[in-house]
Amino acid sequence: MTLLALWFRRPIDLGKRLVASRHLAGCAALVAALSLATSALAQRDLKDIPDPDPEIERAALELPDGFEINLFAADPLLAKPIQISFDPDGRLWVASSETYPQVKPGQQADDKILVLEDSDGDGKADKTTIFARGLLIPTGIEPGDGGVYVANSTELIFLKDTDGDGKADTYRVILSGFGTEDTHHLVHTFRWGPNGQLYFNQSVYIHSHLETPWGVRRLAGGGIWQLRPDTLELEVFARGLVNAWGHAFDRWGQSFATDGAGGQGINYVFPGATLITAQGADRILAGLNPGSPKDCGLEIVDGRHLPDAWQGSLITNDFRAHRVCRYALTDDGSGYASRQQPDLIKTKHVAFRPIDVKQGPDGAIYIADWYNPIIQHGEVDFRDPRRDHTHGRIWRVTTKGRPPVSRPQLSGATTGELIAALESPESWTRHFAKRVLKERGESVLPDVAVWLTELDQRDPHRDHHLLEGLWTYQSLNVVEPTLLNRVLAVKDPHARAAAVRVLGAWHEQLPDALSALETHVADENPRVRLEAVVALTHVGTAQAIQVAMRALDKPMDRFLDHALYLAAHNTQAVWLPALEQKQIDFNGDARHLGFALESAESAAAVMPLAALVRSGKLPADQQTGASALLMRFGGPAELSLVFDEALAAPSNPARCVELLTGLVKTTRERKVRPAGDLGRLTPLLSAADEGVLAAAAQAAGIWQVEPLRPRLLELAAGNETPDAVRTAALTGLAALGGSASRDSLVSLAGADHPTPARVAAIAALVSLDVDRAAAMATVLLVHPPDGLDLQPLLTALLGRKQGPAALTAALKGQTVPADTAKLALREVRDSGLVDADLLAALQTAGGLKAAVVKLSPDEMKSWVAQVAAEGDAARGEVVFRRAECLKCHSIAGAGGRVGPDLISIGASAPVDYLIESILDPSNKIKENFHSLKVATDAGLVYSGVKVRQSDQDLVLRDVDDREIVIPLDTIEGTPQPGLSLMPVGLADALTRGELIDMVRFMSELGKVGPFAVDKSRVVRRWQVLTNTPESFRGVRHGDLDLVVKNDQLKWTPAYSQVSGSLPIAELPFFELSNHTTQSLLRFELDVTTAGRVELLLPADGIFKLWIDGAAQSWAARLPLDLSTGLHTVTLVVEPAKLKNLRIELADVAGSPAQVQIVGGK
Amino acid sequence: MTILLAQLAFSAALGLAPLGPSVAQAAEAAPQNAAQPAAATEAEKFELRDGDRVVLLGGTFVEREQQYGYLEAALVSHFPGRKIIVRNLGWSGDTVWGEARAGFGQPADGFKQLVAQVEALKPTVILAAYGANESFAGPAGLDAFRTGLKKLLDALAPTGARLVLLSPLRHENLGPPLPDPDAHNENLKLYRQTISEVAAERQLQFVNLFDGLMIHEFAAPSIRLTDNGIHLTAAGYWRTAPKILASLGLPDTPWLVEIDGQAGKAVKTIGTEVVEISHSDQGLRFRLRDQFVPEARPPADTSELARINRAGRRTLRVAGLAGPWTLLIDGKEIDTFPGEDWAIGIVGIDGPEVDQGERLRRQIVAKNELFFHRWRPQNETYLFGFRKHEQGNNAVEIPQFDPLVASKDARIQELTVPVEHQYEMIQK
Repeated sequence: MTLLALWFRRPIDLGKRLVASRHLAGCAALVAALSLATSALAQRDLKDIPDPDPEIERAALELPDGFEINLFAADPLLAKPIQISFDPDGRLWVASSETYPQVKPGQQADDKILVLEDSDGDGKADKTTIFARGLLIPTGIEPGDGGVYVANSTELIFLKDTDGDGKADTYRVILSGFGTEDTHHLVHTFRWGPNGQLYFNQSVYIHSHLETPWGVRRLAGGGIWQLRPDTLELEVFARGLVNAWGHAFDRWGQSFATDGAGGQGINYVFPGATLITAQGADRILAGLNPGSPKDCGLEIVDGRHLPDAWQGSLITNDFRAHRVCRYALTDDGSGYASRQQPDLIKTKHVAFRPIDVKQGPDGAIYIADWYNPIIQHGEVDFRDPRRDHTHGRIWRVTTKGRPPVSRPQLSGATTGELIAALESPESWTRHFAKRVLKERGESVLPDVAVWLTELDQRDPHRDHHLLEGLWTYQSLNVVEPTLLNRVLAVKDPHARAAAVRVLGAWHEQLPDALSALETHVADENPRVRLEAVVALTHVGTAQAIQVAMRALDKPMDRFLDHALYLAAHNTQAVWLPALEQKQIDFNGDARHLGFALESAESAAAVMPLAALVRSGKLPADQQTGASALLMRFGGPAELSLVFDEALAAPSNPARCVELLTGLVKTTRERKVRPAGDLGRLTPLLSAADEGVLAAAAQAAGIWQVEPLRPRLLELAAGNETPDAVRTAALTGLAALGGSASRDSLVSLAGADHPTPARVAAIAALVSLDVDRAAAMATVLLVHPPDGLDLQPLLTALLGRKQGPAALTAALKGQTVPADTAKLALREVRDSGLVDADLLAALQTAGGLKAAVVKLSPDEMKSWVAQVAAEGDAARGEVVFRRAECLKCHSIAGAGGRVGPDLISIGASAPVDYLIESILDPSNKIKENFHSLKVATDAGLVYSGVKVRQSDQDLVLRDVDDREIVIPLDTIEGTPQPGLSLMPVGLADALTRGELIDMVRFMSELGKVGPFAVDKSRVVRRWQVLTNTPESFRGVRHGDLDLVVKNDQLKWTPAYSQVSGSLPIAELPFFELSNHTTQSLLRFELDVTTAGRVELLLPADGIFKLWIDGAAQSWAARLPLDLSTGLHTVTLVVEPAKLKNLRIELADVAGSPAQVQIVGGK
Repeated sequence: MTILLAQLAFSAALGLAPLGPSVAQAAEAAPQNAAQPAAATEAEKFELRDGDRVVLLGGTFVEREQQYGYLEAALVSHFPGRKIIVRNLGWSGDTVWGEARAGFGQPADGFKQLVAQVEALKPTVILAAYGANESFAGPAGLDAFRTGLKKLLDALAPTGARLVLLSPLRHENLGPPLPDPDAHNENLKLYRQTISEVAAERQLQFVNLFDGLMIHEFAAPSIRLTDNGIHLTAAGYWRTAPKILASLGLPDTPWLVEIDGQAGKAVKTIGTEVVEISHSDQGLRFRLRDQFVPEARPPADTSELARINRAGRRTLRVAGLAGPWTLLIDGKEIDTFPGEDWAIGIVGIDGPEVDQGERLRRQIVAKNELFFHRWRPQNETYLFGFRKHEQGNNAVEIPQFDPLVASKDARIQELTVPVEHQYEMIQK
């Protein structure tokens, strides 16, 4: 085996390997070689391992003007750095793992903690010490308290050198019980907070169960922990994110996180926030850069060595695409807006894998380069011979012409010097001065107190100095109310916000905490209000939650809304009983009460909410939420309230439909229907509005309103009945049940009825008599009538537990025309509910072959070679767009969300992986895109990717990008992992040449070059007006104002190319009587802070433009003054005159506006 | 070399053991006294038989034992040469409901996992230590705990294994800033009581770790047995292991050799056998074969008092020598004392037997690490979980740990058998 393993280290192609290994070691070697074949497959295009010479790599790194880079340390001094962290002496500590991704049987893991020193200050490490070894995949490191905290798989340990030889000689387990379900999710990203607490992260597959002297703390899935090491108080700071390897505090103590598998760029994290993937969370706080590539590591940089524009910049790593990125933050209400800036480093060097970043004592930026041509171990084999285990670099980025900051001497400094360092312009210096002060203990506090009283009133940073002082007390766990009150009253809202957080932490020792928080929840600054809401949640009494709702008296935003929702939701077990016992009344304010009750999202909140609805005091904008909650948890009486609302909305048919549909769904899922006389439905069954008619027909059925049977039959059989109403009436009849319904449906499915009606009748019959329905469906398949739409038929059968089996049985021995069978197969594959037996039955009946293409290694090799030699990315983008990939995948946030965003797929996925994923989608599935198949007690089957799961519901995203909410109570058995939702056979319609071009295009996505998505804010997701008779009439008559306002017209999604341009030739157009052509397009802007922005418009070809239906005149730089909320920009363009349709959003100097271009499907 | 005068050991141990009329008596009395505090008042004698498969079950207390091995070494060394397989299934945060083992499932799935993990090992003996984590729920959680414990025992009953229930440890008071444990200890008492009641109902052996085992240590603030109040340090495990055994009716036999140096005759032996004794050119020579492999050396963090307290476990007394005499074992010099000290008795004889005890413990730790990689491998998601279609091919490596574990088991079995050693007293 040794011989074999050594030999495999040399990169050679697969064919030779297989043959050679047979000769080499006989049968045993063959087995090993075959198991390695997958790895070889996965990275076949990476045959050329780059020369590991650091100088070659350095020369390939591209930096912006004014910056330079040097090698700080490299192999063989260190290998595979994972996290880096400085100590107060400026030494750089490194956690490194050669064992990753998996210890081998018989291998003694020997991973190391290294200490790098640059003793002469020349920017290069000149001393390396192995502080500890024998560790197993250490993923986090933070020096402090005289030793170093290290993540060691299941444990958080503290290593200390007690005899001064530079090597750890004590090993103390601080916490154990961290999960290890995935070695790139292990507990990681250690970071001291400004308050002296230790923060660390775990990722989405990890389940941790940690015993502390204060009790057991558990966290399933991703999140950030907070530990006070001296007391061992441990709490979950925030939950969620996929694989968050970056967490940094800004100078005001606010937390930001990056996600190595998330794709929302910078995430603003306040205490308790539930971010994407947070388990059990009903509501999620989105990141600040949706559609952004995934980032690893995070540092907020500042100080005299960096240019002014870089102060407070966030530096992180797009390790897939070999880049180091920069983001800039600005305030956006209580939260932040984040904008990506030009890259700090980019390169074509395939082994440059920046994964951690820290600013150093000299103000330079240090980057840990994991140096590996291969990332990941989920998709690429653990034992891929090209996986690098021996190299690693630390790079140091400096600015030209600015001297390095002189490195502070802290550990030997006097207390006075340390206190003076708290005023340093460098966060590094303040941070470590505070660390050293903390480690010296409470004896430093009298000097700190003197310093704080003597601060210069005119110092512009005085408020910040006060905050540093407050944090010093907090680090030492000494409550200092006078100082706290002083900081709570300062002018700078950032400092006030930070002080409110301290107030929350100290509330038990402060008698007047609640009244202080009542003041700050009404602060003029939204972030202070948010911190007050968070602190009140921490206090957690009914009184506190009542006070928190006062935040509603001032403007809200999405961050505040999330915080306030969590405040009410997480503490409902406390305040709901208090409300019932009239100990609180939510300040006598219906809006406060309504918000709290809706946030509870529980059955216990239904009664008081219903009472509030009946009282008529609930504000109008809370009605929708109230109805939704009543439907989710209410009994017959509460549903009856919703039914009343539906009946009372004849002037608003859309609202009536929404409520009726919701009630029907409620009855189906929860088997409860409104109380009272359901015959009140009768007038709705004669409504003019088709939607109302259809919803009422369904309701009549599922509510068993037998007297309405004749009317349902009439609608079902009527020649004039619109299709949607007919289908609803048939469904209603099926729901009414019994032999009468069955006979009616069988009769309506007869050959004497029009084909769509027959199809709808059979689809409805599925729920009553699945075998009969399958038999009748088979008749249609065998003798397909004209105009046969298989989709409703197959959807009904596939969505029913016994459906696929029944149809499989009915097809036995039958012959289906090949084309019909192909269409049926496509429907089954597109449904996301793929059933292998049914696929086989359809193939047999149609005399077809299997569609999954499995390439032999040789075939794959030739494909990969052809992609490299002949693939044309530009042509490939055309193919990609034509193949409708964007229906399910987005690029930079524009497109569907069923599959992963492909923004940097080319930089992370090897070519053969791309080919395989297209030909055989279920072979490799990206994390978080595994589908689940869920059966319910109503006999229904759903399939989709899990979006979230709360205590009550499982939410899936189905193949059509719809969120499906399934109450957990109704789920039968355990949801089964399903296949990829990506349909098989997508490539069938493509020629080999087209496929080669498309793969080439995908392989370029994210790499340095024309197919890297640039940072500018370009409109990528559009809607274009489809040319239908109605829209044609409108456009042709020239009343464009009416067209723009007409919400009945059909708009379809369109997406810009990677370059940001929308291809003009692809636009649907209207030919006018003067033979010119026009196209109508629109896009949306989401404004979170009102103000002025500019749209950069094409110079020619825009005929007319509207903002929210109000016409605007054209300007190349069109200024817009936007209020908060969603805004629609509609354009009429003349394709013939347009050269390039690309619209960019730009900031206006001095404007507070925060605007995002809406992405998605 | 930790050889101490018996006199020293005795005086240092004054607070811990009753005064005896002689050093020898003190040394001999030690085992009984050590066993006294343990709660095994009427416990039947615990025995491990040839072919037994022992499963250790519980939270961090059990889980962390695998890194130290003191308890496991104490268990197997009591039954020299028997084929006994011990598997540590401890899981941090574990409770009788098993929710810490749920993985990607719902908390309730953890219980199924817990039972399945035990069943898979086909145990004949199960030591279950619960109640510590559950106790944080206080009196309000007691009924649920009792029900949960019974449900767990019912679920484990089909294995047919002999069950032993361990109470939680006392929460040690380490002073601020760690929490004052008084209130928690009141709760722990309630849970201990519940476990003992359930054990009595079912006639299961019960080990009272709360009251009996470490009362002295907890009373003496200078001796820490835990790192944080609730989790034992290495020294804590070292100190606790023999006491658990004693509570099971398996007090560790002391080792005493009393020789009449003039007559060249063994007067008395405990825990060992004089195979052969003779005068040599330079002095006295005798071969000893111990009954049991002794416990491993105390870990570095063991307090001096605790070391001394245990030092009396191995005492050699040779009467009738004058002047300095040196003890050699297997030709290796151990230490030199004047004849009058040898006559009083030297305690803490630390030679190759203790080496073997330490080797046994290290092999156990190594075996446990291999087994950990076997039953709780990293990357389970890809090897066996819902992403196994990607990296499941690497799951073939995991059973490759089995032969490695088995070879350690065999080595452990070998190391439980004491071997003969040549002792020699020579005059310097």
